[in-house]
This record gives sequence, C-alpha cells and structure tokens, in this order.
Amino acid sequence: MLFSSISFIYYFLPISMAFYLLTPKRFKNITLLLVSLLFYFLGEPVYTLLLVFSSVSDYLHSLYIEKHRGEKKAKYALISSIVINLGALGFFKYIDFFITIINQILKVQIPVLGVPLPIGISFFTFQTMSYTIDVYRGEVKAERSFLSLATFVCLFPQLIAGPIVRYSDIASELKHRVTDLSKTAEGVQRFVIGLSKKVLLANGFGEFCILYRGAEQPSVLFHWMYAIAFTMQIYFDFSGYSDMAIGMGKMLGFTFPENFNYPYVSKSITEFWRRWHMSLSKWFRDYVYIPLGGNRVTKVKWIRNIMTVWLLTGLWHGAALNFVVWGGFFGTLLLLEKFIYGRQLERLPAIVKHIYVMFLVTVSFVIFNADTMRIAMSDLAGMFGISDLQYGLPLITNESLYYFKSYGLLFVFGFVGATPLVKNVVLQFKALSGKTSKSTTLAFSGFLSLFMIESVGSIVLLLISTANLISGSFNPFLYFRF
Amino acid sequence: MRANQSSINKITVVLFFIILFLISVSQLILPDKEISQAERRRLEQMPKVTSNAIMERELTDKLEKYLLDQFPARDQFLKSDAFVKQVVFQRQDIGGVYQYKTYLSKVLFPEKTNDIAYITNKINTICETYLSGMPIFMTMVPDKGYFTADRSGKPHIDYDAFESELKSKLNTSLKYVSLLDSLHLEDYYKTDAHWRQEALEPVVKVLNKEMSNPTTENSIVYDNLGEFKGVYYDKLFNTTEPDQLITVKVPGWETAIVTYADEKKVAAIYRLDMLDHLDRYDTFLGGPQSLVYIENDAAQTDKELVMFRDSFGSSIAPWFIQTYKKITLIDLRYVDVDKLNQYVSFSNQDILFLYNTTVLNNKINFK
Repeated sequence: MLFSSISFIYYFLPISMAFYLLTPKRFKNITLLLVSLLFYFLGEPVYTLLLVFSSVSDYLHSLYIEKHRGEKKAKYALISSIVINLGALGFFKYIDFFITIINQILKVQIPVLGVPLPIGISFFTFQTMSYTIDVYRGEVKAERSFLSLATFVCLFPQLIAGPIVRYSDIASELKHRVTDLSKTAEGVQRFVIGLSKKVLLANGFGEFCILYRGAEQPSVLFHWMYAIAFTMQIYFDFSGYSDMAIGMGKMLGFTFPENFNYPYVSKSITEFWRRWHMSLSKWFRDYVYIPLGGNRVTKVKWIRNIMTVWLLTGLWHGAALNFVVWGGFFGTLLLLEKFIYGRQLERLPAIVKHIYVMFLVTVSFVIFNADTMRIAMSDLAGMFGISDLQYGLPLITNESLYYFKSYGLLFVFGFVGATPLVKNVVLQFKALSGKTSKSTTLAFSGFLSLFMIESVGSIVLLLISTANLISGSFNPFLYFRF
Repeated sequence: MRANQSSINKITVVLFFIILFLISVSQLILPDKEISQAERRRLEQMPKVTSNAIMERELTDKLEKYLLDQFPARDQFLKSDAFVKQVVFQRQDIGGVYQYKTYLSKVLFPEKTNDIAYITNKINTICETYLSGMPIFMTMVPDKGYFTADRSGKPHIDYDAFESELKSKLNTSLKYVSLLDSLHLEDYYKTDAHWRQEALEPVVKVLNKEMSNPTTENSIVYDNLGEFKGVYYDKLFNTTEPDQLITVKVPGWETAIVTYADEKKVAAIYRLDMLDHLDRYDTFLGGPQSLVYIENDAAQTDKELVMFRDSFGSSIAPWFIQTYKKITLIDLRYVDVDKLNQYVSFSNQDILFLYNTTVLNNKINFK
C-alpha cells in the first residue's frame, strides 16, 4: 500500500490513528504492531511471515548476546544474526543477479529463480542488523519486551522505505512517548508536504521521463531535460516519502531521524552525501566504514574502505550493474575530493561549486535510472550530442521544445522546491505573523496569516494532491524497488 | 504567539482528520456509480473479498482502483486537477488535449515514419492479395489538429509531407484522393475528434467524383438527436458547450438493411439504442464493429463498395447508400488481414481505404 494512495490516506491512516488514539496508553504498542502488520500484510501477504521471523530472530539473538556478553558465544550469536539478515537479503534481492553473473563468467546456464522481492527488505534488515550490532557493542540494552522490539521492526511509517531508524533513535519513545497536539499538527503538515512533493512534483517529473523514453525526435535538449527531470523526480519522490514517514511518526509520538537536508544546494559531493539519504550514509559509516578502520588506517586501506562502502551503497540500491557503477562513481568522486582537488574546489566561487555538484549528480542519476549500462551510456551520450556512436544529434527538436514549454514551470517549481527558499520564506512570514501585538486588529491578522499558511495551506495541498491521484496520474514509488 | 500557534495546531489537526473522515464516510454511504459520463467509461465496482484475492495481492490493487473511481465528487476533483495543471503549472495540454477557440483538439505529433511504413505495407499487401485489377481509392482524413495546432502554437505533423509519405509508399494501383482542401475546422465536432456527418456533403462530392459515381440527390433531411459530449468534453478545466448530434437522412436510409456481423443482427443504419451508451458517436453504425454490411436495393447503381475504415468511416458511409447497392465496412483493428476473403468475396467492387491521420500514424491500429 502506497502512502500516496486513496486507500492509505483516506482509510488506513484515519482508522489506524483513531484506533491508536482510543487505545489506553499501555496497550498502544500492541495496536501499533497489529496495525503495522496489517499494513505490511495488505502489500505482502506471504512475506509478512518473513517480517515476523526477522523480529523473532533478532529478539532472541540480542537476548542471547546480552546474556553471554564478553564471551565468544555472543560473537557467534552476532555472526548468526548477521548471516540470517544478510542471507535473507542476499537470497531475495541478489540471488538472480549473482546467478546471472556466474552464468556469464562460467558460460553455464543455471536458471534464475525469479523470487519476488519483499517490499522494504533492504530497510528492515538494515534496521534489525543495526539493533543486534548495537546490542553486541553494548550501545543499547537488549529489549526484553518482544512487543517493543517487534513494534520497532514493523513500525509502518518507516517499514518499507525508511528513513532507516535505529533502535537507539526511538528506544525511549517505544516505552514512553507523548502524542500532543503540537506534535500531531507538525506531523500532519509534514505528511501533507511530503505527499505534495511526491504527487505534484515527483509524479510530474516521472511523467516527463516517460515522455522522454517514448520520444520520436531525440535531441540534446531532451536528453538534458530528462536527466534533470529524473534528478528532480528521485529527490522529491524519496524525500517526499521520508517527509510522510517522519510526519506520521510525529502523529504517533515518535521522532524519526531526518533523511534529507536539501542535498541539491551542496557545494561538494562530500557535502551532498551528508545531505542525501542521511540515514543510509550513517548506517554504512557506523557499521561498515568505521569497523573497516575508517580513515585511521594507511592511505591504501582508507581508499579500500571508501570504495567498499560506496560499491556496497550502490549494490544496496539494486541488484544490477548500473547501481554498482553508480556507487563506484560516487566513491571515486569522494576519493578525488579527498585526495586530489578538494582544497582547490573549496576556493572556487559558490556558483561553480553548485554547477560541479549538480552536473555530476545529474550524470549519476542517469546511470542510476537506466535499465542496463548500454541504455545508461546511450542516455549519457545523447546529453553530449552523440547518437549511435556518431556526433550530430540535433540540439533542439520541435518535440523537445514543446515539452520544454509544457513542463517548464514544473522545472522551475522543482528548482525552487529543492532549495530551502520556500521554507525560509514561510518561517519568516510565520515569525512576522506571530509577533505579539497589543492591537487587536494586528493580533487577528497575525492569527489569520498563520491560519492561512498552516491550516488552509495543509488542507489545500491535501485536496490538490488528492485531485491529482484521482486523475490517475503516474504514481509509483521509486524506492519501493530497493 | 504561543496561544495563536496552539489554536492553529488544533484547527489544522481537526480540519485534517475531519476531511479524511468526511470523505471516507461519504464514500461508504454514497451509492456506487456504474459509469462516468465525463470520462465515458465504466467505473470499477467493489471487488470481491476472497482469500485468493488477498494472497495474490489483487484485492489491494482492485480496492485502490475502486476507491479512486468511486471517490466522492470525483468529477469536481478531476476538474480541479485540470485547473492545477493548466493554470498553476501552465501545461500546454492535458493528456494531449488543448483548446483552440471553442474547439478541443489533441496533439498529434510527431510523425511516426516506421508506423506509416508498416501500415502502407499492410495496405499494399491487401491490394496485391485480394484486390488485383479493382478500382482502389485511398484517402486520409486529417485530424482536427490540421486546423488548430499551428494556430495555437502546438506541435503538429506536416500534413502535406504525411500525404506525400503515404502516396510514395502506397501501391501505384491505388488512387489517392486528398481531402485537405475539402474540409474545414467547422466540419468537426467541437468536443470530439470526429467529423460531423451533416457537414460531409462536400467531401462526399469529391469522393464520388473521383470514384466516377453519379451526382447524388439533394433531398436530405437532417435529424437532431440531441446533445453530444465528445471524447474531449470535460478533459480541460474550462468547459465548452456540448455539440449537437445530427444525422443525415439520405434517400434509402430507412429501407437499407444493415447487418452487424459482430452482433449477428440486422438493425437500423442509425442505432438510436446507442444514444444511452457512453459514446453517442456509436449511433453511427453501432460504433466499433469489425464487419458491417449495408444493402440498399433502391440505390442509383448496382455497384458495390468495400470500405476499409476507422470510426470516421461510420459517419460517412451512410452518405454512399444512395449510390451503392451494397457497402461492406471492414475495420482492420478487428479483422485478420490473412483471413479477409473468409468475410468478403472480392470481385469487382469499388475499394476505398479511409483512415484518419491519428490511426495512420500508429501501427497498433492495424492487425
């Protein structure tokens, strides 16, 4: 069930919230767990067992680790837990990828299994693994209550597409959390903003990408517009989803970690990855990069550590060569910034640094979105006027010019929306509206302004997004495939 | 400020959940609709809840479609969406549909040369296989964009080049008849893609002349069947007036025997039973039909006509019953070219290929 679906917004969300709010405090986790399992069951009836198994497995492993802390048994239990989690991930997500590689290398014909990918497996296995590792490291105590742990693992807002919430992030809220009006209102606004980003912006860019694939008159302009459109789509799609998850978390009394911080305003690739999919970057930093030695090793090993993390990051996104190349591309860029031109980059004017980042990020997402490396190369070549290994693709065609006009304003909205500009303007406006005034008229106008921004704004965006959904517009979630 | 913020928080939360509950409750209470007149399609009905449907994940998919289709005030939401796309995002078209003056039109662009080659090859194959030595005519009906696209700054195919492309690829035994100069924007419905039957007299004259037919009589009666909301009606935010569905009663229209092969029945040339259907244009020869035979013993000649056609053919065919004793209409979307002689006995009929540019630019329309 998509967050941006009528069944979720108008049925699942209000009904589950009503049940949750009506449940006495000490039974809230039970309600939340049941609602979360129902949420997953509606999308993945069979694999719900896998989710339950994952919860039980990590619950038992962590208790065992705690019981045998300091002993070898704890280490074996940790290894067992990691093997089970990675085994499940490897089987469901990567088995066919590896079979295909083996077939190509050894010239054999092992049949691919075609096992459907359980939704959200990349997210919930990483969450449960981080929990067991944290218990082993002594950073968190093993959860005695299975209910609390299962609620953490299955919590529906972040279950299938993140942010990757660690047990330590919400451990205290699993026991005691406050659901007050202020937090709920924040949650509602955040949810609606996320929904609008997803439906009004990401889906619009998605439509454009489909038009590009069906284009009859390719041109350099069309290739660039596609590259930028997908760069925008993936940002608004994923950050919109994260906003909805964080918003719903707030409505339920949880504070999930932020996942995006306007990555497209970055002035280096290093900064970009501090702002993009932050929960994943931190996961790899804490559970792969630092255990490998981080930067406190020889230069060669440091390079190895960085490349390992980035190739794995690529692979995490999908079982295909283009994702590995995408990860390797960023790993290489980060190495170049660290060892070759990082200092020179810092001295460049801000605009040049922005162009540098956005050019490389755009190129990277062209690789990311291609079904095969051949398509990726063809898309990239088109951006530079090359088609079928020959230079001479027209700069502009009537078709690309028409779509440029038709989608131009969407691009403008996208560019503005990807910066903190709107947020800052709203905050300034709210600050001005909220200034205490002794005059009744001014106080009322302040109240009215706040009312218009927060209450009316949220409702208008909700209804506009609903209208878009009803019109049957394009509505997939990109990160569902990961 | 804190008091203000607290009140705003309350209002936001209450408004949000009231809207969610109001919409969901009203959706549950309101009776389900069978069809959407605005979209001219059947709406999804409540799916059956079975264990199989749940386990196969069909239920959630069907339920979502059902909820979308039966959403309260669906038509108003669709209009609002069109408004946002047209006014806020300044989209040049909505699903390809745009407005020029009071005419709604659809972008046809670009020219698909591969598809044209495929289609002309199909036509040539038919000519070579079945129509050797017969008088064969081909005509292309320009879509409304021929008159509207350029004037409203929309991209469009080069219609002259399109015709040249057709002519150059078609078998030389075909005589090509151009209609580009015989048609005007006013000859089309404002809210639909099709031409208006009552406006086709000049086109019929051109075709009759090219096919060496006698001049037809002018004792024609026009019958207004009421409002017609075409395929583009309601697609945009700004509404246009519905069209009028007018039929022509040429001599012989009442006595002609029309056999609808798909339905295995004989019925009238104007199917008034279709006026209740989603597409009132189906009144013309019953809408999409693979094979239709029209016989008129009172025709001016003993000639027969075989017309390979799309939906534009449905409204022009009745004009020819004055001339032809038998007209056979074939829609190649539903008839396998390899089995044509199973349905039609080709002897010495006049052959007319009549297709709209939209159909000729997309090979999916030819089996």
